[in-house]
Amino acid sequence: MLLPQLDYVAIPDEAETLRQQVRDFLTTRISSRSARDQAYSWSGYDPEFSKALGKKRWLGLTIPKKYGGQDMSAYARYVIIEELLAAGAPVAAHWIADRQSAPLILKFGSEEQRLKYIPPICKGESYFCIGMSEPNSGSDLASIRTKAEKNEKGWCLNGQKVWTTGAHNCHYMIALVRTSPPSENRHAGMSQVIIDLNLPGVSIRPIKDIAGDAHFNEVIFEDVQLASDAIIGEEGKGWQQVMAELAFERSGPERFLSSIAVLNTLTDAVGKDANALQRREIGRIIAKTHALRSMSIAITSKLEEGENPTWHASCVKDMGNAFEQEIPEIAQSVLDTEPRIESGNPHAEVLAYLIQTAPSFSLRGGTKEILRGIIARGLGLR
Amino acid sequence: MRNLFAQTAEKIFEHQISTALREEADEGIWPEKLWREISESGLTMALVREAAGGVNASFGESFSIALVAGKFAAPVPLVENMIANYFLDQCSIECPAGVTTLSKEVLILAQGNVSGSLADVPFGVKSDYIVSLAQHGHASHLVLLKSSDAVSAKKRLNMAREPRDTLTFDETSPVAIAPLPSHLDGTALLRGGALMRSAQISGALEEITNMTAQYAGEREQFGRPIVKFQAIQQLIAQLAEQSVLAHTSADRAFHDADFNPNSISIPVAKIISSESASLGSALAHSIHGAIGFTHEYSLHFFTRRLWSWRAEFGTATYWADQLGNAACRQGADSIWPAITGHGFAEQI
Ligand SMILES: Cc1cc2nc3c(=O)[nH]c(=O)nc-3n(C[C@H](O)[C@H](O)[C@H](O)COP(=O)(O)OP(=O)(O)OC[C@H]3O[C@@H](n4cnc5c(N)ncnc54)[C@H](O)[C@@H]3O)c2cc1C
Repeated sequence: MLLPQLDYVAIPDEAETLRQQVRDFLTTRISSRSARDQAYSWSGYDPEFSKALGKKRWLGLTIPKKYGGQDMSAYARYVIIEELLAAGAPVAAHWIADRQSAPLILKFGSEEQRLKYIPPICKGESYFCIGMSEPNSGSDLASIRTKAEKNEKGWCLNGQKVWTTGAHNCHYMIALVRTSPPSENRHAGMSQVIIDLNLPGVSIRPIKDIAGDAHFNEVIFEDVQLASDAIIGEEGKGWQQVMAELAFERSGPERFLSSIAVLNTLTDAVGKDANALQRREIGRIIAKTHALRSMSIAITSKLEEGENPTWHASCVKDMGNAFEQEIPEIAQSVLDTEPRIESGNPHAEVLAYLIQTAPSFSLRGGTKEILRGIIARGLGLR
Repeated sequence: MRNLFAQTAEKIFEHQISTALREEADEGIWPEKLWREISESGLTMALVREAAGGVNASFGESFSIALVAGKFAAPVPLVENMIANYFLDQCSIECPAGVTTLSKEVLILAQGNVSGSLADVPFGVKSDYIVSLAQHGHASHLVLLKSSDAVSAKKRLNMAREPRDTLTFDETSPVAIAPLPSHLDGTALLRGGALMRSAQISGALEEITNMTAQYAGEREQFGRPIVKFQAIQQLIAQLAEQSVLAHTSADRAFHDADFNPNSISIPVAKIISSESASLGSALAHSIHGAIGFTHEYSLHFFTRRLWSWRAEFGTATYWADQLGNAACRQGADSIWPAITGHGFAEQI
């Protein structure tokens, strides 16, 4: 076995120059948001903010100009998104569209699809969600049952997706569906389709989560008529396309920065009189953030070079999620603050929010057991 | 692909290092032939400028040398000599022939002579020279000392039976002395040592990950190789993750090669590699079962080093306290700029 090591690559200077511009923008735009709002991280929804980012030309960074993008490097995008996350900016509206839908349509879509869907994404006006999970298909994604059947007008869609983040606020879903019946080859017969969520037969029901918010949804399709060009990429190649998409979905800074808000409130709460335990734990969190970021940037260089870094992305997501989950626990263990839903104490409020949402960090985007399975397979162990 | 320097190191180690040699080193026998090949190859001069007789490798290139030294559990002070020579060259002191090591401790300088004790000096007694810092008031100087000038020398061993000696000097006249350049301060040698250990730890972790995967493929229980059990696959995946995290973080620290007192990538690499050393050793032993606990099987050459190296040149706790202290003093707003830039605004 040869362990695939990951050499560090620095962010090039031309991408670094964006950093201060983003910081200045965020200072004027969102510095008055409460710590509690910042803790929402990439779950904070604000379409006006997304449109403002589009105006600044900070969306669709890696997309060619022809489709409304900036034709810049993956590093430029990295700098912008990590600054947004670090500041707790409300990025949920456009997040998935910018992260994976636009690159997916660019890579696999037809010219018409690119011209239709990508420019509004780059303007921060068009929002997408991911339709993979179903009531009976979570980790075992290949067992999905939602199906699109060919008819004279295109495709007739029936079935149900669940846990669909943001569906109630989105214009489109890119869904993995069956386009032919299950066969010997479990990964065959699936395709990715773009679904306009305003079509007749689509019903979206928000599902309240543990913290009382409704970020994810149940989405039901009853005889939804899709046009014949609804399929993205090749019919029957949905599985392979989804796997390629996952490298974008799993390697980014959102996989280890979800709890950064509580690092900030904790540090300010303990202040200059911090005791040795508090200093040590805060130092550890800083170190781990720094190290995971180095890995994440190194993976960005692979994306930039057109490689598929799924294996390393799985490492970052697994370690990053465990780390994001550990941070609120550490914060609770080193300072006597009782978490509070509302109290006026920013640390108590952020703590309350993150303790409740932390369990989801290692579920969304694939569980730790599934990621470790991918890592083991990559090492040739299975 | 490793660079040329690392390939040279790898070739020498592959050729020279065997279990028998490691066992002899455990018993205190100096591997003279191995060391001769290393010094003839110029590896100890990797970080020295060409004008000063060095090879002028970058820190990025030197990372793989230190990594390979860890991967082979090389029982010689190659990385110590390499970084000691770097500091000598930075202070325009000529690098001496022979074995040179470094100390993280600071001596007292008065009237051109140095006094005090240097604890935990890697291969201190065996070495011909020691590079250390000496302080006069607030000014730090780099000094090159002859080990044989020590008034007392106590032999000590770490868990891997590598010498970590205590040498005491009393109004000793150094072989050479020079003020530190402005980008270095009294923590420079500690940081240099920490940097080297982070790479060695990464190398040793890579090796135990490979050993563990191989063993799990060979060892059969319940009628099949244990690697076929999902529980074992998941543990090996976690071991691989630790190895990769330590590697990238150490590579980053070499890439930055920032010895400034407010920079953080060396402290980060030492914290991360030390924690990965703990987790990784535990996982490797767990997967190996009893065989890994024997002297016969080679895992211990690596895990004893991992447990030793994680504590040397600052434990994870030491460095985490430094980072945490800087953050708490300078406020939450200092943290993100420190992570994305070149460290904290003020000294850590
Ligand atoms: C906040 C949040 C947002 C989400 N957003 C979206 C979204 O936008 N779009 C979308 O499609 N999905 C979304 N999901 C769903 C997410 O992808 C799934 O939760 C995840 O894939 C796991 O599926 P499951 O919840 O059905 O758990 P299950 O698959 O039932 O798993 C339960 C447990 O069994 C383990 N397990 C399952 N199979 C194996 C195996 N082979 N070996 C070992 N262990 C196994 C799992 O690791 C887990 O520990 C979201 C989930 C959350 C929590």
